[in-house]
Amino acid sequence: MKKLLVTLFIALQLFAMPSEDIDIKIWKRLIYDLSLKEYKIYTIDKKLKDILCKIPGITMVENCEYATLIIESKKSVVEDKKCENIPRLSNNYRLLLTHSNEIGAFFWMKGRPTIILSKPRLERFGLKVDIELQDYLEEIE
Amino acid sequence: MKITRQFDLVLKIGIVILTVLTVAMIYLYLQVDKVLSSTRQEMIEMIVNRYQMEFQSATSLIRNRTGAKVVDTLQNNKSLRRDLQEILGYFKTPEVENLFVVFRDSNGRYRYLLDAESDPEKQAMFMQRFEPISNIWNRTYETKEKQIYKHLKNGSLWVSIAIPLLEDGKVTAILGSDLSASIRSDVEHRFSRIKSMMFGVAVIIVIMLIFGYIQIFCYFRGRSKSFIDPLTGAYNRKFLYEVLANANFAEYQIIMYDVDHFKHVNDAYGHDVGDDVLRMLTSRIRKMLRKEDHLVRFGGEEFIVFLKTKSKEEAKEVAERLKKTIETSPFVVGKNIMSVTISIGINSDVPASTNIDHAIEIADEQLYCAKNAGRNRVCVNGMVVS
Repeated sequence: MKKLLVTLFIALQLFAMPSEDIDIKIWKRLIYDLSLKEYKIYTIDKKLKDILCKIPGITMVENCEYATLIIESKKSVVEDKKCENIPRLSNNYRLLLTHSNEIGAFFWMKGRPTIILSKPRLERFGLKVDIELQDYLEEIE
Repeated sequence: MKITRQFDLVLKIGIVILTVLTVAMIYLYLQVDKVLSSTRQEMIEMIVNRYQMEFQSATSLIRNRTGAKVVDTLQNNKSLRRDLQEILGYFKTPEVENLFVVFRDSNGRYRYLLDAESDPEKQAMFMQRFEPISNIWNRTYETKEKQIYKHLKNGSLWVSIAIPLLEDGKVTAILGSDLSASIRSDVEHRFSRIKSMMFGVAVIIVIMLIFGYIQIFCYFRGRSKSFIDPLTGAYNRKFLYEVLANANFAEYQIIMYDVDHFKHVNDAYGHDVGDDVLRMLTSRIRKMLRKEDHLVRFGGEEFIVFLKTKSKEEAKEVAERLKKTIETSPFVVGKNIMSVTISIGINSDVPASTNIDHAIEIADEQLYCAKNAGRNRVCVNGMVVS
């Protein structure tokens, strides 16, 4: 029920504002609800970078080594081996399934915003999520 | 004056007609708008119902292929999943944004079983989580009946339809579909075009009504001007024969007067001075008449007063007063000071006249009587009374 309310809250907001604003809101919630020590984000996806820049309190870093979180898309996967131990989020479900460092994803599926977080991977990185995101946890190894 | 009253009446009728027609137009427009709105709603419902029926047959097809246990069967049979997805694809039209089958797992989470989407990038994977952004999915499980959800206007989705796949009276899965917002916008676009056309027609009719009103106004203004003698401002013969002749002229006493020796004024001072004298004379006479009386320039320096009274005595008194006033008040035109007199003939028995010409003829005879008696006289019944 609670999950439904959260989803409805997100859903109601999304149809009332431009899609980029919705993306900003959801990414903001997703990032801030992870128990990160610092919010230093690295991405090479220009579109994602434009969105993430608009989230207050987030520092965009130019080198993935300094990041506490990497956000990637299907077309811009960070291949740097030095950054293998940094948790990642993506905007693609298939990427989440195939890359073991992906701790979650936010993407649009059939006109609906979808958030999925991998419980085992979050544990592996020693991360916890806010209670409101608990319902989005999945057993994706 | 009568002509003014007639004009006012026609104008008022025109305004009333215009107002009634405008109100009628607005009422009609609102009625049409109402009908269009309900028709649009019915059309939208028809579209939704049509798809509901089609998707209902799709659920039957899935049940036939999967047997009793839909989830288990699909989980164990990848080729069946592929076949069913292909079949579901046939139900997909440009108006159907999404068509899929989902089920609720033991944790209460919804997961995709089938997706009719042919693009692998957009196709939901088997057991991928489905985010319900409305509660129709839960309601479908609870009520075991199909549910409809209308999305808010901003999104690409318009209506979501959820049809349950039942097994022994229990919902095992739901066939879900999202109709594209393009259907709504298409319907609304068509109806807005009809509405725009209606509005355009209404505007054109209102403009035509306004033009009609302006035409009536201009016609009557021009008509009333055509009754006025441009030199003196008195009524002319046209007014006499078109308006007074049609009125009950027997209600009037007819006083006809003529400027004595007017030819001398023209000869001595010129025609411009003569014109000024006529203008001033008319102005003075009009000041001595009431609104209901009419002053007509019959020709040259000959005028007729239609005095609205049945009293012969009153007519005599007025004629005498006119004569005296003109006689005792000199006319000053530029440096010229002139004494002008008028001769007056009265028809004292207008009702006895067969028509207006006859009535004027009698007044004219009396005018000659006054002239022959030496001018600056008033004559009634062949007798000089003043």
